[in-house]
Amino acid sequence: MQRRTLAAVFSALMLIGLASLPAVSAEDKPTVIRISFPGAGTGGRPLSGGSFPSNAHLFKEIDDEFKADGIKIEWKFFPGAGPALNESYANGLTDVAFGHGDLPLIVGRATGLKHKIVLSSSRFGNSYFVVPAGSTAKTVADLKGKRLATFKGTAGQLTLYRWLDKFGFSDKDFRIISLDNDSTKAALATNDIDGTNITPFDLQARGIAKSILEVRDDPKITRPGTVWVGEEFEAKYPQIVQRIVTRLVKVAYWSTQEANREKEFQAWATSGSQAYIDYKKDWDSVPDLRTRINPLLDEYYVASLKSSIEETKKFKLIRKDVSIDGWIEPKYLNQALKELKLEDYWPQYDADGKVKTAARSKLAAN
Amino acid sequence: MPGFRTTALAGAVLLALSSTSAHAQSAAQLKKELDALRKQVQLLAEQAKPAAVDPKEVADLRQQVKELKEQLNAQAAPKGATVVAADADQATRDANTPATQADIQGVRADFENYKYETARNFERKVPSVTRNTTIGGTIQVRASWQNPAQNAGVDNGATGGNTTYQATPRHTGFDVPSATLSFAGNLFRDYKEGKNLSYLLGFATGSNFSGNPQSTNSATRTLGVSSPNGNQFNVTNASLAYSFFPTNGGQEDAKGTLTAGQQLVPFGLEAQANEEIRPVINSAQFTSALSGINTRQIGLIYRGDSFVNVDYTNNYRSTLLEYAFGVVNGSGPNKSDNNGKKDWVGRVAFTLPADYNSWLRELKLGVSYYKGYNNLANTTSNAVVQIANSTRTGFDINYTHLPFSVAYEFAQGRDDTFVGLASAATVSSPTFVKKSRGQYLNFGYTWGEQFLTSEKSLAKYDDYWPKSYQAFVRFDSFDADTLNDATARAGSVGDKTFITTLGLNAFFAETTKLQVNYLLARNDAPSTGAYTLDRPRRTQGLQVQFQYGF
Repeated sequence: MQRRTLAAVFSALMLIGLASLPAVSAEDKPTVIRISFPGAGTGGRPLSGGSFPSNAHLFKEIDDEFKADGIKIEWKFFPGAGPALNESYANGLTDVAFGHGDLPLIVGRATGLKHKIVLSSSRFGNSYFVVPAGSTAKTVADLKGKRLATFKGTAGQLTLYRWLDKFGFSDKDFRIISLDNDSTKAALATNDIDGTNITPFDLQARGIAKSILEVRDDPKITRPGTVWVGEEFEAKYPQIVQRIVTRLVKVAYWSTQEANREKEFQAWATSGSQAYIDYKKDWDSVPDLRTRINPLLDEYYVASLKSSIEETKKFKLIRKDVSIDGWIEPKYLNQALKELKLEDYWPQYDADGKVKTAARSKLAAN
Repeated sequence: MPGFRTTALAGAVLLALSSTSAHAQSAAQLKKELDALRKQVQLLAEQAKPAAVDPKEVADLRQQVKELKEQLNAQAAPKGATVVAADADQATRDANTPATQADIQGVRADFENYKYETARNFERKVPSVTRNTTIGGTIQVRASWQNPAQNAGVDNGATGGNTTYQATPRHTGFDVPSATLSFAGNLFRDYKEGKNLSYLLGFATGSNFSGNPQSTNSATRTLGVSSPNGNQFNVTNASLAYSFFPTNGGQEDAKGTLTAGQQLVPFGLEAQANEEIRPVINSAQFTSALSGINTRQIGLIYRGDSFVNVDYTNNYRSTLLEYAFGVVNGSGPNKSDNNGKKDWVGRVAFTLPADYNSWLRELKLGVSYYKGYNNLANTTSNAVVQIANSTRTGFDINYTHLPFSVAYEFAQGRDDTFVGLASAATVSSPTFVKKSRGQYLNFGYTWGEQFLTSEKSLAKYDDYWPKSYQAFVRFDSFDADTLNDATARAGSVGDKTFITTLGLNAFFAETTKLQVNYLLARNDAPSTGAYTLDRPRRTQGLQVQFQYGF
């Protein structure tokens, strides 16, 4: 009797357990592609903005690409940003990342995460040093010993450290606290922090913060974002990866069209992480959208990645060396550019972030 | 004929255009003309359909209409506005359309309405507290079955209170073994460094039995004597804590907190685990059998860590050293000191400094020590005649690397005990050290993302929570007297219980889980060799419990 009961309980548990296991497809295409963004909209909304991969989600480009194949796209937006995306991937829950920042990308690889970089998701951009509206600080030096906020573990942390480095300081000269984007804005409003890097225009319009310093499109301060594919996924489904990359390049092309500037700014602003005015003013200095919306893995991308690795080690955020050998896989991008006849559409930059090969005119591309 | 139509069409457009350029007309007039012109173009285009119309002429006409529209836009646009192309999309038009005073007033009115509504709701419908407070609670609802039947007068084994002693044997039962309510918040928030002063207040349902558990006779245990505690709702946590280390700097900062008041004792793993995180429905036996660590205590306890390692891969934090030490009165919850001695507790745990992706992640070893003093009483006079030593030592090892988890814990008690009868004990009665020992080994396997911070905090529109399942098996033993020699001490045998638990937890909402436990309990033979109904040789049982929090 006891054995029978025990066997019945075991069987029930096994059945429940088996039922909960993820379904495994025997086909040569996945049933689902899990695409992750290192961020989320204000209030935990599943939205992202500020890049052409965001457009791929906002305008349902990837969903449409695989609709006919019956492949479901599972979009993931992590309020925990880049580090959370790493955790998801480390646990086998993400296939593709749309726009990972340099710091979490590098520390992920340093600790054994294996992925292939297939595109650059963004580059350049302005950077601002922002203080509460009532602050008397005029320079970074005026804030020495004070509280600066950054979202630790994200690309923003390296950006802040570069700012400090630029003015001859290190993180030890300040009290650096970790806050996410929304909390940083709130902390500026309540004077709980003394400074941070954030796009200031919305905060200025609301009278709660002001920018004291601004760096425009400095390749030494900001670094490109990255689109990567998990190594296992890439090895298993190369055709699927190619379709994702080709579609993304198409979206990148669309995103660089001047006629679409306003449409994408307004779509990006729906996430709330940055206000419309922030996009509008931050991008006012960009007459050709291809400057920032550029998917190329050119010399600048590679040199930036190497520099970020060096900085990450210098700031003691990783202990191990990181090699870029075999990390960047440009074949999908090259194929997409060829297929779409966009080989010379984007400008290519050298290691210093200067134009090496000018882009062809947009008119010709059209 | 076609030539005539084309000429007429061109003539109409040119007439309209020339009149436009010749007179400085108002935007309204211009619009009116444009509409009329559009109609004419449409009409003539329809008339010209069957015939071959020169596409170049049509294109020219279209261009003229477009220019006319742009002229209209320019006249209609307020001063300073950018003129947009006629074929611009709505987003571009919106971006170049300035707001009017009426628009701004409309937004202002909306804001005022919102402010009014918020203020009224806050005043009338939102409860308020003096200080920042988070209210929470946990409730368990359980059904159980066991064979052989639970004997009359034996408690129902509820873990959190509500223990009932039934009058007749039973195989099944329904219980709400625990219901808790907690309040937590800041008394002082240090914005600069996060050295906060916080508080915790918790309540739990207490004993609610109708019999007298102190009775040695099963029958008399069911007579309906009132609970000696007299409480239905007891204070569990009542403490305030001060952080000596900054708490807002980031994960790489060490922690250090002094907690004063009634709180859990930092001993081992299971004794500190609350209902929310414990996988098994019933706690390990030693946590309820060993006094001192089996209840909350009142006193001062400092908890901290050092040598922090943060893996920025996913902001995984581990500390090489965790420690806790403190002094408590040793009387248990809601009781003042019952003797002149204080109890002391200390715990040290080491976590291997490993990266998040390392297989050695979350491998933790800990040792615990509790030095207490028990009152030994003459059970005839109820007078305390001696203050006895009571020590607890423990060792634990925990490895949680999802989906696998392994935990082992060992605890030993040493209690001075009268050699002779307690009913005749005096201040000089000899005592011996009774050793008791408990240990458990738990293997777990998890499907799903319940325990991943990244996945459970995913941005979603709905009330998302990752569904997870956790299967485990636990082997738990407790020996109340390790001598195990009936000739030397009769009570040292027949006091050991070994429980194997096979379980599955299903997490299907943020604070709710369904737990199914199958238990097989085996008791060792008493010195008489005869098992009793109160303590049968083996018992198997099934527990199904919903646990939900708010």
